[in-house]
Amino acid sequence: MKPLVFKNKIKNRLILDMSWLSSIDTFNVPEIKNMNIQMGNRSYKVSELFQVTGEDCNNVKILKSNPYLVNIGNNLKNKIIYIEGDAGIGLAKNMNSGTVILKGNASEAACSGMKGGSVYIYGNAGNRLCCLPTGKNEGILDGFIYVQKNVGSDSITRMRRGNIVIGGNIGSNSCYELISGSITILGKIGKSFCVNAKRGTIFVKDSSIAKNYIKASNTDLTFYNFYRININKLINKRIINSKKPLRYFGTKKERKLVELFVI
Amino acid sequence: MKINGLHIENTFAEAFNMKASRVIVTADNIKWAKNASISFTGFATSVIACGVEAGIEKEIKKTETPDGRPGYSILLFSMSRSQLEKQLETRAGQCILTCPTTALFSGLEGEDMIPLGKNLKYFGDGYQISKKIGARRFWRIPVMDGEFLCEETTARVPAIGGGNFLLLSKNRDSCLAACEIAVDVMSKLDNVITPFPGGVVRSGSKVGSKYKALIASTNDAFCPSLKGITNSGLNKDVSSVMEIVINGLTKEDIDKAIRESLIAISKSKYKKDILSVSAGNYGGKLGQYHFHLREILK
Repeated sequence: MKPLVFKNKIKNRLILDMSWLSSIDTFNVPEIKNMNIQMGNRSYKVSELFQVTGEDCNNVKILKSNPYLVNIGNNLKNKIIYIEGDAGIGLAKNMNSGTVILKGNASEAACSGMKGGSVYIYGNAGNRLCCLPTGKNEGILDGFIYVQKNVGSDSITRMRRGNIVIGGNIGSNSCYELISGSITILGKIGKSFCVNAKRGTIFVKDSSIAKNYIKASNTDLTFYNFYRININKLINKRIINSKKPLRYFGTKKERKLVELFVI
Repeated sequence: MKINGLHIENTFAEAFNMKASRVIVTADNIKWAKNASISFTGFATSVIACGVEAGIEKEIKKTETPDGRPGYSILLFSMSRSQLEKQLETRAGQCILTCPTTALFSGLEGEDMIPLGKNLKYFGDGYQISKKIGARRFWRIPVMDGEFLCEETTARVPAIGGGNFLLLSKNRDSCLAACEIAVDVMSKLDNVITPFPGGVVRSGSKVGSKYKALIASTNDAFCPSLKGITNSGLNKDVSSVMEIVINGLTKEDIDKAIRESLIAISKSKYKKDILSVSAGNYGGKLGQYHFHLREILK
């Protein structure tokens, strides 16, 4: 089956909530084309806003995407969404499972409240990646996120579990109140990183943050190598190369069980 | 029927439904992976008294293991889920967790999951760390040489235990040498193990005994020393019989193991001393699977 393709043909600059995309469960393309969606103060048929082709509702492509398309992949379950272009706020918000691949930049609050699945952002991500969703107390519960380039500030708040890999820099106030999970940051790290963290494992190249941590023995790198191999496999690229990282375990101030690998 | 001059009797092996699981043991080097694997699969020849039948399936190169270190894959077979669970955890705790530098991973995918490190994690006394990658959860348990990395669960799949054949030989040396050839062939195949010591059984059993407490006793019909006084299945020239028991994940895997190993024997110099190849069965009434030797070799 060919993927279901939505080619954006919206001319005006109104925000369009794309949450409806996650709940499509029919292979009937005429039915999808006739679905009513709200944009601005009026209702449109899908075919008025998108050129729709293909049929597989579990394998969706969005072409010519832009930041006015918001909440793509909201509450997503078991679908693959491939996006060409930029994505608006709330990409993969509260996502449950499936895969989102973005060939462009993500706006603010991407992956907020994510519970599972994988998100690949081949570009930058705005501020508040994995921020607390409304009414929830954890920014990300589980899942895998890869951002190829930079991530804005106030990102990754109260992460519970999962794996995040950032290929570029991350802004200030990131990883606030980290509960657990694994985070890899290959670029520079902004101010106030990992404040009030409880547990978790962090892999960084920026050694400046190591001063806050207690140096530990690194005689056994079984887990590190296992993690390195698996993350490289997930991204399909040898992104973590170091075979001799420096290991730190515990914060100097609060003696929290945060583990740091300087790679 | 003869294969390269090796006589194959018109009989069949009778095998049973079992539950199986596969684990992968890795270590810093192959020596310690082997130490752990041998210990893990020790005393696991027959479910009659061991609870589980287990064996090393194959050596795995470091490029193929989950943590990039050399290792072994091990198959375990049991009659029940509870027994498999119990044996897996006990053996992992006593033989892998204790062995320096090792890590333990699931080697099967499936929906029916059984605990692997799920309860072993408590050995970490609160210092254990959970890591989830995709849908798989791993535990890092601090130990004196560093960390024991162990996957939380492994899959359980339906499998077959008790595929077998018997080599009836003029003498013991040739019989054992032919068995070694067969075991060597099977050790290179995926999805099968030969759980007995060195892969060979000399004490084939029949169901029941004259002693009420025993559920199995010596297969007197195949004991050369009893030829004159029992209802023997052996002719006058047979002076040694050995059996190879094969457990596999599917019928096709066992078929392949029997076929390839018998062909290898038929091409060896020991074939002249092997008078025939037979198989162990219970009249076809107990086992769910019948491996007809001649059909397999057609």
